[in-house]
Parts: sequence; structure tokens; C-alpha cells
Amino acid sequence: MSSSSSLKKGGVKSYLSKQYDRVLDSLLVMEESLSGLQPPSSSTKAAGPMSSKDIFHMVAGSLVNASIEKIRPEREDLLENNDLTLADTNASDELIDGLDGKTASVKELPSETKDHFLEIFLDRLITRLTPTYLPEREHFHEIAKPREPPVSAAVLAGNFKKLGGKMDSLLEFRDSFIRLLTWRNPSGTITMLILFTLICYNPMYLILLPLFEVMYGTIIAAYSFRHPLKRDVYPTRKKYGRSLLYEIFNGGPSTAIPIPTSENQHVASIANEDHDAEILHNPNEDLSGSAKVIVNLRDLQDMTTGLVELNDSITHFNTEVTGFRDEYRSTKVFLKFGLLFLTLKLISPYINWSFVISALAWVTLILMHPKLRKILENSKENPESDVEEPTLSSEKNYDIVLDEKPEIRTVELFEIYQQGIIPRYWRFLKFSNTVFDTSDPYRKAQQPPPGVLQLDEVLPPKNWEFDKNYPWEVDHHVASWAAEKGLEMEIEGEFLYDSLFKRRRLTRKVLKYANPTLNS
Amino acid sequence: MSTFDNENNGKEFHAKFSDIHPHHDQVISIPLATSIKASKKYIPSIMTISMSNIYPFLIIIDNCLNRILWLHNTHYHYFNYVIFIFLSMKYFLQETVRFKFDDILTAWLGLVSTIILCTSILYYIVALFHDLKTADPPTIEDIINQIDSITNKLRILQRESFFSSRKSYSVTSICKIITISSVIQWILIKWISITIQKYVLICVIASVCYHCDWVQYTLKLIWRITLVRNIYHWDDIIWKKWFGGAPVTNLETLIKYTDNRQPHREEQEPGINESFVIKDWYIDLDHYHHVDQENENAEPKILKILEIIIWENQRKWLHLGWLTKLFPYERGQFSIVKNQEGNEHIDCNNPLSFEQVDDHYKWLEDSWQIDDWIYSTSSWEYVGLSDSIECYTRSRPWKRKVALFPSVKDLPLYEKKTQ
Repeated sequence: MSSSSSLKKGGVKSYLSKQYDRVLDSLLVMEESLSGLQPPSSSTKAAGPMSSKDIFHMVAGSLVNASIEKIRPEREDLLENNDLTLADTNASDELIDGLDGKTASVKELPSETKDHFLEIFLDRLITRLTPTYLPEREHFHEIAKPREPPVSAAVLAGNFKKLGGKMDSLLEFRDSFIRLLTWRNPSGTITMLILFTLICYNPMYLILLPLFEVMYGTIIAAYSFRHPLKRDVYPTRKKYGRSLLYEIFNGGPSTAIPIPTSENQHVASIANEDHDAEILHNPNEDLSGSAKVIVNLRDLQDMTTGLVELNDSITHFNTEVTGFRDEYRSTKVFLKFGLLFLTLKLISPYINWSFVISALAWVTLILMHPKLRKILENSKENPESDVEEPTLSSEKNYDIVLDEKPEIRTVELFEIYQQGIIPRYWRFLKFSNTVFDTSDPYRKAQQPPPGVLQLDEVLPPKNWEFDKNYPWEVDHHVASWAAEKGLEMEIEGEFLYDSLFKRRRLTRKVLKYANPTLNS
Repeated sequence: MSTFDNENNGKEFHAKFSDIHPHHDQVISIPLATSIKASKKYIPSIMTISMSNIYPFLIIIDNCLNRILWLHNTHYHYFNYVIFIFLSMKYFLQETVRFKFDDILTAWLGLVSTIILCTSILYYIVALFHDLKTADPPTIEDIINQIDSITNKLRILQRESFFSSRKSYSVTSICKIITISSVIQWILIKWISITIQKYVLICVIASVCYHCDWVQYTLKLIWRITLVRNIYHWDDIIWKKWFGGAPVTNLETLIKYTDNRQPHREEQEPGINESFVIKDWYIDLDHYHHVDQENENAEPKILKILEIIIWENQRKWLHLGWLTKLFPYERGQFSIVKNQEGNEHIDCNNPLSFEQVDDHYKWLEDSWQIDDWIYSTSSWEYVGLSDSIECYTRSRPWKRKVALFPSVKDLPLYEKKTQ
């Protein structure tokens, strides 16, 4: 008896909670329909920035939405724990589902149950602020995903968090690369140059070396960590003697704070017999957790800043140097490149490229050596001050002629007059782009056409300019331009008449030297 | 007290490594420094002086060993030196320099590398002596430490040598190595037509790189290949096939081997149960040979009782567990001990196939007694009675006692009868 009553109680409870969810769902739907659909797809958004009122609406809507969604999964959890669901409540649920089918679709939305409120809120806000259809990127697989996942603060933050923790290898790679270029690891730099020379002489090494790197940099490294060679070496208390190559080529100490690397670790000295214990308590591990993430995020930030700077310099090159903003310079650059191309093409069969490129690499890196660079800079500074800079302007003007013919087109304008009270009296209305005939939408709306009152106020099309030698001219061939525009009206002199308005066509020459630069 | 309690509260307690020197080596060696300290002996002054005189040379030797073992420096460093050695070797081994750009370049690079190598060696030595002059004179401990370090490195060299996994440096094995390597050289030069220059170059580079840890790791990984082990032990396989004798298939040979191995135990007093069996058997024999019943008690003297032990062998394979799959150069699934020392085995048939008995032999027990597994290392060195990560092979004895008449003719009874 008691069990059946508790069963009933549970059933009622679940029924009630389900009803409560229905209410929440309907609230959601209402709210979506009110605020959610308005801004993104409408044309008003494209026309101008959103008003603060719109933004307020959306923020408020997102807030409500997020709070509803935050409550709902908790309810669902409760419900799942309650296994007692009666058949008749199910039936009634189905009935309700049938009544408003919308609820079912809304219910699918929050798949991730336990997010933070703020994250849900941000996600909602982002989805509202962005248009519903974002452009797609290329995918490797055609049917991999129907759509790109929407922008989500939670996913973005999560990815950054994960990256921040696991970017060590990438950053370490960057560090070692810098160390190699600055001769802080002289043996490494020489090895790199030797390998580069090998690649120059036999490009097959481009495949072989990465393979080798995977074999020894990754696999053997992992193997040596698991099964170290049992080479316990006595520690040397004092190091006598020096390496000649190191003395000559060392470019200075590393600027980074030294981190214990695997190379340092495998020379396990006999002094620290408890090598295993030391691995367990790696000092680097102490920098784990949030601090490490922060350090890596800082480095990531630096890298992105560097990327932005690189992008800027590329853009600068594209606009200033090769983009014909400076016509003289770009022309010269093109011609120089062309000359270089031709010479290289012609002399290439007679040159030992393997040698030239590898020698170039050696020379460049040797010149980049900090010690040598200092000397070179010192020697450069003195004579440079004596040499006068060649006067660019005088040279610039004569060897390249920039006399391209401008593009010429004609613009038209209609001088529109309105009929006054007396049929013979015409009042000037406007200078306009439209003919303002009977089919004109402005005329239909009984409004004046867009235009100006003074001829001086008329501006040439964007990037074009008026030819000052040619003022506005009245087009006397009325019949022909009327026919071209498909207008059948009375012609009197230079005017074209209809019942209320007359107009004449003015033309003027416009000129354009060049389109604006591409990337400006 | 309370601080002690807090220290271990909620923490797992781990044992610590001992600080005493002996390494992980199998060969446990006491360093010279420790032994001198322990003996507390007075070192004569002439000894001290001579030791301090050889100190720079000890450092040089130590550094040479470092170079051979690729220690205390980056791989880049040693790689560069390998390239320098390669280039200068190439220069010296070149017979003629043709007037061609590549040839001239190679020659020039070879010369430059030679100069770099020589000057860096000289520079090192000069710098070393200079440093020693300016630094404080070495203490006796420093010198002894240096000697220990050298011995330790030499031991590493020995351990990592190509034939170190062979059990012994016997004359035959050295002969084998010499024969094999000569054949390989002959094939290389005669059939693959590698020039001697190239061969020397390859040998030098290979020996320079051999103790690099990467090469050692590579060898260790290659050593995991079954085929490589078979090739490495090819002589053992051939030895086993041609000279090791065919696997034991019949009881007679089995008894022969067991008999040879147990010369001192030939006559055993039978136990009570066994004597019953023997008695039964005698009755049968008597019946067969018409032997008198009266001589029964005198007879067991010429009767041999042997305990036959057949070893069942297994090897541990990763993920697969203990399997009877064994290498062709080691003992088979069932084996018996061949020699008296007990380390040479000969293959044998399944013990269950020896049920058929002759007139001369009789099993004293109804079935084989199977003992527990005995676990050993990959090279069949005894470890213990329980499995551990050190154990890769195991064997267990199948024991059964057999009684035999050496031959019916030898029986005094038989003689008596014929008389």
C-alpha cells in the first residue's frame, strides 16, 4: 500500500516538474521570437551601427535566456534521478508535445548541461550579435560537418587554456631556433649549416632529415626516458681545458632562463643516485598549473603580436612597394625584379646552385654572428657619415616617365523643372541623377528626387575628378538620349516634357588616373 | 614528535636509494677512492708525486674517453667533429685531385677540417696545461677520482662492445668472430666492390659513432628483432644442428644421457614402494628367463635406478604471456641436461612419448612428477621461484624414476642360467 502511494507521489512530482519545464520552454520560445530574430538578419543592421537600445535589448534577452537555460538542466538532472514516471504522465506529456511542437526543438539546444552561467550568457550574446549565416571556410572533408560550430566563449577559452598548457614544445622550438640563429649554441648552428648544405646538395635530405628527427628526436627520446643507458659517470669537479670551436664561435649566453632539458638529464651523474626520484620532483614541474598557463599565454600573446607585425610589414610591402601607391617606386621594383628574373634564368645553367646557396647560408650566418656584427657595425658607422645621400628627387624624376593616359568617361545630370500654376511658367526644382519620369518611385511617392540645387555642389563619382577644361554641357540631342533611355515624351528644344515636369540633360567629362591601391 | 608525525601524515612512505657507490652494474666494483679511504693507508710521497705528474695525462685520457662515449657535450658538438673527421679522412684517402670544382672544394674542405681538428686538439692541450698551472694543485682525491672515472668509462666501453652479450670470450668465439668478419670484409671488397678507402672511411666513422647514445639506443631497439638475434647466434644454431646431436626421441638415449650425467649415483637403494615394483618386475623377468626365486635378494645390486629429469621450457612474450615458442639457438620446448655442469641442454621429445618400456627398463612411478616453475633471465640464468620483471624464461622439471638392467647379458642370473 505504502509503496503504491509513494509511487503516485513520485509520479505527481515528476509530472509537476515537467510542467514547470514546459513553462520554461515556452518562455524561451517567446523570448527568442521577441528579441532573438530581430537584429541579425534584418537589413537595418547592415545600414548602420546598432543603437544602444538594440544592444540593451539583446543583452537583457540573453541574460534572461541564459538564466532559464541554467535552471533547466538542473531540473532535468533531478528528474532523471527520479525513476518513477507513470505511464499516464507520459501520455499527457506527449499530448502537450503535440500541442506545441516548438518546445521539442528548443529542448535540443542545450546539449552541454553544466556550463557556467557566464559562459552560457556570453554564448547567447554572441549568437545574437552575429548574423545567423556566417561564411564558411574550406574543409578537407565534404560532409564532415554541416556547419562550422558557432562562436562560443566557452570553447574559445577552453582551447586557449589547453593550448596554454601544452605549447611548451612549440615555444621550445622557437627558443632553440633563436639560439641557433644567434650562435648561442655554436655547435648547433654549425650542425644546422652542415645539414643545410647537405639539403642543398641533395634535396632528398628534405625527406630524410624529418624522418630522422622523428626517429631520434621523438621515438629514441621517449625510449631513452623509459630505458636509460646505464652510464653512471663520475662527476668532474673542475673542468680543465677549453674547446677551440666553442671559444671562437660562441655568440654569448642564452637570454632565456635555463630549463632542464632532456639532454641535461640523460647524463646522469653518479652523485645523484636517486635519479628516478629527481624525475618525479622535476623543478620545472613546480611551475605547473596556472603559472605555467600564464607564462605560455604571455608567450602566445607575444607570438600573435609578432604575427600582427609581420602581417603589417607584408601589407606595407604590398601597398607601398609593390602596390603602385608610389608609382615611381613600384615601377622601378617591377623592372628590377624582371631584370633579375631574366638574368637568373639566363645564367642559371652555368652556376653551381648547391654551392652558391649553401655558401650564401654560411656567409649570412657568419655575418650574423654577434661578435662579427659588432665589428662590422663599428666599421660601417664611420664611412657612412661621410657619404652624402644621393638627392632622390632629382634622380627620381627623369629615368621613369609617368605619363599614362587617364581614363575618360562622361557623367550625366538632369536639370529638372516643375510646372508652375501657369502652364508657361516652369520653376527650377533640382539637379538630379534621375529623369524623374512618371514611373519614378520618388515621383510616385510625391517627393522631390534626390539632388542638389547648385551645380557647384555636384561632385564627381568617387575616385574620379572633373576635367576643368570641360564645363557642364547641355545635351542638344534630346531625341537620341530619350530614345536610349526608352522615354516617349514631348521634345521642345533641349527639354523633354511630360505633364508636370520638364528636364534637360547635362553632361561633363570626368577623369581618373588610377584606381586606389588594392590594400589601402 | 609531533613534527615527525605530520611529516608522514597522509603521505606514502618510499624507500630511498642508498648513497654508497656501487652502481647498477652487474660487475660490482669498489672505486679506488673508497678502497683507499677504507684502508687508511699512508701513501708514499714518491707515489703522490708521480700521481700528480700523470694527472694532466689522466685528464686527457678521460677527455678522449668522453669523446668516444659522446659524453658531457651536445650531439651537435660531436656531429660536427664527425663531419670534420670525415672530410679530413676523405682528403687524405683521395688519390688524385682532378681539376674540377667539386674535387677542389672537397680537398680544400678536407684541408681546413684537418687544420681545425689539429688546432683544436692543440688548443685543448695548451689550455689544459695553462688551466692546471693557474689553478690550485690537485688533491690526491682529485687524482684518484680521475682514475676511477677512467676505469668506469672503460667498463662502459667494455659493456657496450658488440660482443658483450656473448657469454664468454673463449678462444673459439674469438676465432669465430675473426672468421666471420674476414668473410664479411672479403665479400664487401670483392663482390660489392667497395674501395679500400671507402671501407676505411666507413669503419672509422662507425667506430667514432658507435658509442653515441643514439647508436646504442638504436642497437638496443634493433636487438629486439627476433631475426637479428637469430643472425647474431647463427653459429650457435648451426652448432646445435650439426654437432649438438639430434633431439632425444627414445628412452634409451634419454637414459644414456642421464646415466652419463649422474656417474656417482649409479646405485641407489630403492624405497619400499619401488622395491615392490622391482620385485614384481623381477618376478616377471624370472618368469621369462626362468630365474630362480632364491636369488631375488642378491640381485638389486646390479640394478640401476635413475631419476630422469626432463625440463619443460617456456619464454615470456609481451602481451602473449608464457609460451613454448623459443629461439632456435636456445633449448627447445623439452630438454635434458647434457653435461655435468648442468648448463648445456639438448632437445628432447615430450615426456609423455616415453611410455613404451623395454625389457631392460621399467618405470618405477606411474606418471611424471611435475615440479614448480623455476624462473630465469632471458639468457637462462637462474633468478628464483617466482615470476618477476627480471624473468623472461622459465623451466620446470618432469621427474620420473626408472630402473634398468644395463643389459640382460650382464645379469649374473642370466649367466647362471646359461651355465
